[in-house]
Amino acid sequence: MSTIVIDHLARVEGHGGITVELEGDAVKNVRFDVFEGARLLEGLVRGRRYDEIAPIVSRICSICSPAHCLTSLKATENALGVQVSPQTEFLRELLLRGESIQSHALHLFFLAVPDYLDRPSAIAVAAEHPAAVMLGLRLKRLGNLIQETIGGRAIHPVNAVPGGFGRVPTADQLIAIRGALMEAIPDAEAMLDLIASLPDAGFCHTPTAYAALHSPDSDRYYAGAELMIVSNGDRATVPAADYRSLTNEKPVAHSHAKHSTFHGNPFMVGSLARLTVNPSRLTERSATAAGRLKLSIPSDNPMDNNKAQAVELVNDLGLALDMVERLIHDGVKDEGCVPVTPRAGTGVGVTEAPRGLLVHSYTYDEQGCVVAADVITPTAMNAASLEQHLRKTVEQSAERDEATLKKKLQMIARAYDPCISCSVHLIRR
Amino acid sequence: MKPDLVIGLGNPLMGDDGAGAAAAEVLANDRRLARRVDVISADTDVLSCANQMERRRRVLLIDAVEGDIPGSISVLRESPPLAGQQQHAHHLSAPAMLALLRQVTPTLRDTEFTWILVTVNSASVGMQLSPEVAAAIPKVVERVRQELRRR
Repeated sequence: MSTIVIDHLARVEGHGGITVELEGDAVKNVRFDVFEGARLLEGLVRGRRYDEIAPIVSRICSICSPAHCLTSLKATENALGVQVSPQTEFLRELLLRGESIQSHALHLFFLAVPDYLDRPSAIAVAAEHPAAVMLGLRLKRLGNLIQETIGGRAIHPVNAVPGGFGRVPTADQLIAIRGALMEAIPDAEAMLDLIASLPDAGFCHTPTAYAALHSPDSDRYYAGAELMIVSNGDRATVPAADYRSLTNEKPVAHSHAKHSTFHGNPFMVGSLARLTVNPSRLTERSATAAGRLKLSIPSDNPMDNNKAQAVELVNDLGLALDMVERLIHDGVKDEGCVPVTPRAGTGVGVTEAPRGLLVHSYTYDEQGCVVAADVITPTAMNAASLEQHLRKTVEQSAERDEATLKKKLQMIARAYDPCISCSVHLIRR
Repeated sequence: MKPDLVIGLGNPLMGDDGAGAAAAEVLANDRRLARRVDVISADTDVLSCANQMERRRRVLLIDAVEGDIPGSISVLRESPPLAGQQQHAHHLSAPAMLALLRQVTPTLRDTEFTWILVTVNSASVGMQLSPEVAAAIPKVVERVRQELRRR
């Protein structure tokens, strides 16, 4: 028996990594070990008032803070019977576009590209390809600018509150975003050129089930009340409020992240899942981008999630520009927030975070204080699927040396864009 | 040039990891300081501060560092050393993000960066600082004020 151990995938209290046990060439066991703080954070909101929840949970992750904030607001408003205005939904959607732009730029340029170029870090890439890193930084800044304008801060939005927005963007701010988005058009082309030039990474092929928020008539990260899972060409839907029948979480001995399966099978969430579940996302601009990257949907290769993020990045930039143009044309009303009256009830919010489906659920008492909370992050939903792909990667690898296997395993894990190290960031001496 | 910038780093939901954010909150509420210093909290995403860092003579970053004596404070004029291998799947460490920004952003190369580091020995889920680190926050704030007075 031999064992391959990778223990540097995460830094959350030092836990998180990959273990593969081999008997000869046969894979006996594969584990993706996660100690995910978010599950424990639910205790932090118990007893808190409805208007305190979003600011707390947005701190779960600095990269995904808008998604946590807005998913929390969606759940709270559902629980308290609050219907926000179409303008609020529109601005929330734009805020999530900004988040997706900065998150995908961060992942593609600073985390995924070094693997393909066989470099140990983004800093090493910057030494040889400074233009590529500057391109990634420009795109990330653009996403942060959208977040700052709509959400009030570059991270941890403070403008988004129960019932609406505390402050809406001014015309001058929207014109500034429009200018920045128009300047980014050549950057999107350069990004596609870069991703298309990367070496092929087709070392794991297996049929995969995908799950995402289903939006039949539009491309939405925020709206949508139905979850869809696509497996072997079959499609099944689940009401968002009934998310547990999709996730069917079960604890596993080796990980703090429960494993999610649908009808006993793991499923993948994220960019590749969104493109698979919602073919309408492949607008002309994103279909052209997918063609340039030779990305075909459905895919049996988890590494294609990187290409799917690049396609979404192009799509997000275009849609954000369309949305800002519409806001400039129609004007933004300073409509105030819908009044919120505390009451007892349970509400579920599901959105598409950059890494995939994000679920928040709260039960409130009559005073509007949380008595129960449930947060399921994309990384938790992906854990079982990732283990399946790690196993296939080893089984399908012609090379059996440890260094090659480790590199492939890390690339697969990174392709999922896992968010297991974002809750804590101690500098370790 | 814009005023000096103080950036509090760390996640307030992760106990002592939020030491930098706690100190930044105190500084942000200091009205005398507000006239000549900008204070922001960046959580764990230094890259998101790229816009705010530009055109500053000086940037101070307050962060938690793992060590044996919780509550002790150290000041580094250079960034903490970087590991050769990027160890984290999801994002870069704060020093790595700053190094990356300075490497590719010529306008940041002349900016003076100072790290005010608060030693902690654990960071677990919770919105409270440990007694040792909580007691150190006023000293961290005073140390930042000293640095800001330095010419």
